[in-house]
Amino acid sequence: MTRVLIIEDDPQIRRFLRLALESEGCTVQEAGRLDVGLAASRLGPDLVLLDLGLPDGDGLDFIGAFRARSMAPVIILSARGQEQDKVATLDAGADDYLVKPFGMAELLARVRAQLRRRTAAGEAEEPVFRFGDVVVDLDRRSVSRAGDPVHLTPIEYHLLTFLIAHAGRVLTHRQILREVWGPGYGESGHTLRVYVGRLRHKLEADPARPRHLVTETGVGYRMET
Amino acid sequence: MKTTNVPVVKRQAAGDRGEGMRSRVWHYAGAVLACLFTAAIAKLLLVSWVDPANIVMLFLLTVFLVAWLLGRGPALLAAFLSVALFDFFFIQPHFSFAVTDAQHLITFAVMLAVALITGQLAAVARERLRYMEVAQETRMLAEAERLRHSILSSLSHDLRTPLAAMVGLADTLVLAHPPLPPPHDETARALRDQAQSLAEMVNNLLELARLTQGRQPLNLEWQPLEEIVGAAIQRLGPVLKAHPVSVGLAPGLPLLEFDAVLLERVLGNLLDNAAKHTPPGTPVFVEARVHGDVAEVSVRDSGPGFPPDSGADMPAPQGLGLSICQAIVSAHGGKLWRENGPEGGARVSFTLPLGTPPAVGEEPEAA
Repeated sequence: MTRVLIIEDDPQIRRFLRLALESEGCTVQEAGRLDVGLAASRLGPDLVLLDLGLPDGDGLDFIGAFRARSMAPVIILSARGQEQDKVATLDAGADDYLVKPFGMAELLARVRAQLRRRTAAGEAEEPVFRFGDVVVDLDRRSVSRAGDPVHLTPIEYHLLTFLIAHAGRVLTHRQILREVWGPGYGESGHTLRVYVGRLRHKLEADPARPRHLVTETGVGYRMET
Repeated sequence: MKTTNVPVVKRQAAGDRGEGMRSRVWHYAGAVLACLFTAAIAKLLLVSWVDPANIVMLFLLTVFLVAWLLGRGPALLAAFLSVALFDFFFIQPHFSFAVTDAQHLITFAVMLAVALITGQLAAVARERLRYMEVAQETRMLAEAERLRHSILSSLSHDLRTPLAAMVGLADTLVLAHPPLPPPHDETARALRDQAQSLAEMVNNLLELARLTQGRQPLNLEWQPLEEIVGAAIQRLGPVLKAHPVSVGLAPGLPLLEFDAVLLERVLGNLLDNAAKHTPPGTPVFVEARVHGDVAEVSVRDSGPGFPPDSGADMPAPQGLGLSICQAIVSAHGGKLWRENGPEGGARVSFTLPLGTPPAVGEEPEAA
């Protein structure tokens, strides 16, 4: 039984989340305040839904304390115009976000994706990763599309494998720059965007409408399979 | 970017200096005129029945007024000039700087000292007062800004929260097990969709308020337009399902400097309008090219086009969507206009300045 902790101050939104998650077979625990949520998080939930507009503190306080003892996925519930808070919370270790208002299908798809990622991470790592008609052989460091080999530069390959390693999760610009370019490149967002564009032109059927190397505007990127 | 800015800044600073110099010259000229005026009035009208001691008072008053109105330097000049004029016109022998009575030297010294001190005090008091006024004004502006910001953010929270609950709760009815009987199911869907479009409208309104009322800083970054076009199309998803979208970006389009979240909003609103006001199945085009020193981006549909007499008046939801687009584009230093394309259909275009993009950190050619 999957245990989900909801930290959200509006009772009606909590009710909607509970109804949706219970229809999925999850057990749900609710908290209307951050301190109550922190206390409840000690019981070891499998997933946390965290509202960013709580009256008694911000998401960063929660993530810091929670990540010290659990790697369970955290999905942020945010409103538009909260980009900076959202990015800071993702940088601090949250896994994904939903923008209010959202429907049940969207919510459940995100919850399932995070839970699946969690199970997959427990299993032995697959040496071959597929998306669309692209095959990435991580052992042989080779990439092919529809059977034809694709040449990637070392940085393009590093970028691709970092996204693959976190498939399904939102990675912020800063997280990617730090991993692929090193800590000195924090301000080179345009370089990252140009490289993602090049990867798309090499790997996506329609680079202007990517289906796998997906843009999370103002936040970062997500690999979708 | 920085190198192109430098000459402009320098020229401006030089201009400011020239301006300051000219106004200072006028202040000194004013001080001289004030002293001459006082001397003339005293000599022509008052000298026969006013004691010289009181004429000294008149000069001191002049120095004080010069200090208050024109500042410290002109007051200094007025102090010396007053003593000289007093000596010249009112002390025996008249129309000469010669002094016969040593008593008058004391008068001059005291007059000069009092003129200098009151002049400097008045000038300092005036500067301090002005500084306080400016500080007060700045504080009030900051306070108003803060208040507006907090009203806007609490309003945004209070409006969005119930709408998010409505959308979600209506959706649980739509997806209920077992499904609702048809009429109720339809009602639940309508509730969800209406709440959804109301939420969309509230988002637009709040963003418009934030852009036009407050001074929301843009989160400007250099980026390819292609990425934001893709994100806008993806975000709209189901709305665009009935319309094939064709993206035509001119090859070699340079990086542009914009706020990604806001520009995605512009493209999203334009695509949404195009999809909602044209018959299903008709294509929508997103095009971009360089035109002089701007990039020109347009969204064109194949529908009936804008009504010929619509002028600035648009149906409310479409008008709101366009207003926010307009506000965002002008915040970026571009302009937005709408027209009916030569091939028919409505077309909304906007420009973004090109500027000088930073170099992309290239890797050494892989071996």
